Amino acid sequence: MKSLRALKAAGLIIAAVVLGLMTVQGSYALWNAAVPSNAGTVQSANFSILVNRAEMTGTPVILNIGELARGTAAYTSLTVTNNVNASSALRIQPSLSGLVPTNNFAGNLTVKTVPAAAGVQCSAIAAATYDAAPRIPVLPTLAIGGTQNICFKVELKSSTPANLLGEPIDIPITLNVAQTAPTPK
Amino acid sequence: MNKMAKGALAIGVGAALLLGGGGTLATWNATANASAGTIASGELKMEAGTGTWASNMTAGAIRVADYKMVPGEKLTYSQDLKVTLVGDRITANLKTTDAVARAFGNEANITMEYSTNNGTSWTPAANGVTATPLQLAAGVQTVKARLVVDFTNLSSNTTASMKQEQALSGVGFKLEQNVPTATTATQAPAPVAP
Repeated sequence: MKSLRALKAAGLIIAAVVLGLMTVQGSYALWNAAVPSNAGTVQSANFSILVNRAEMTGTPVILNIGELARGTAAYTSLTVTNNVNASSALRIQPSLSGLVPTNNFAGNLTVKTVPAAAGVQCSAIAAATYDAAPRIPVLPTLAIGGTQNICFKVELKSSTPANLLGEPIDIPITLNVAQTAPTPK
Repeated sequence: MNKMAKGALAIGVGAALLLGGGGTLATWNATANASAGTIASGELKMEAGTGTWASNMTAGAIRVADYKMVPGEKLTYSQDLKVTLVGDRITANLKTTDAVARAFGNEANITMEYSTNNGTSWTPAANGVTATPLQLAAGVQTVKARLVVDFTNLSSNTTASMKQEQALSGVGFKLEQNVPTATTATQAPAPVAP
């Protein structure tokens, strides 16, 4: 009888331990592993455009043509260079706007524009070439490292009335440069 | 009965009573060895392969340390993850860690994707550890992961996106075991009475 009571007691103890484990939530660690990607650092390019070999900014560039006598022409130019440090084949599209003299001396002052190859003297370009060019020519796109020379011919007709002379010549020109839409490989 | 006999009888009874209330007895016992076999633990492991960068604008792999992106360009970093899961009840989730969502003045988007079918299809892994994870079953498998820097938001590229850097070395992957689910226990047959 005594041994039966002992067995019964042992049975009760075991049950209590099992219930305890099932009803009380314990904690345990789950496995995990982590690895870095080692992807490095990505960078964006600059958008460096040179105008007359200087970094293009919002500050106007003055193209001095000196004094202009009646019946004469003055020439000046500017260069645009694609100086972007992109790693892909980025092209830029320069374009001009404006080119309207503030004072056209009663129609006697004209300005003509032609794109020119690098190294070409603007005064060496034939008059007919200037005459045939549209008022604002379409400029070609430029690859990285490429430079476009743009010539301007400012001419004051010989018939300009004398009373109009002595005034400054002011011809605002706006140069826009935009990245062309890239072409995926 | 004389006094001596009574006393002796009393002592004898007392002794008998003492004997009945305490003392040690031998009880039956038996031992047997259980042939339980050998238990073993599984494994959870992940190894990252060497990643490579490529651009949609240039052919071949690129060296990202020297590479300068421009608007309209996408760079993709591709990497194999070798995942080892061993265990009868093991499953795990694959997540990104320390993900970065933007670059270059917030004008480039960065996304991550996984493929478990060798690149046939890709599952976006939204940025951050709280993203929808990729669930993996037991076995040894290669998961392809890729990170895409998308600089094609052509409608809003300003000077703020020029000459910028975005570090991505902290981006990583984490494999986390899921809590195993219990199965219904098979009951042993009841003993048969002799």
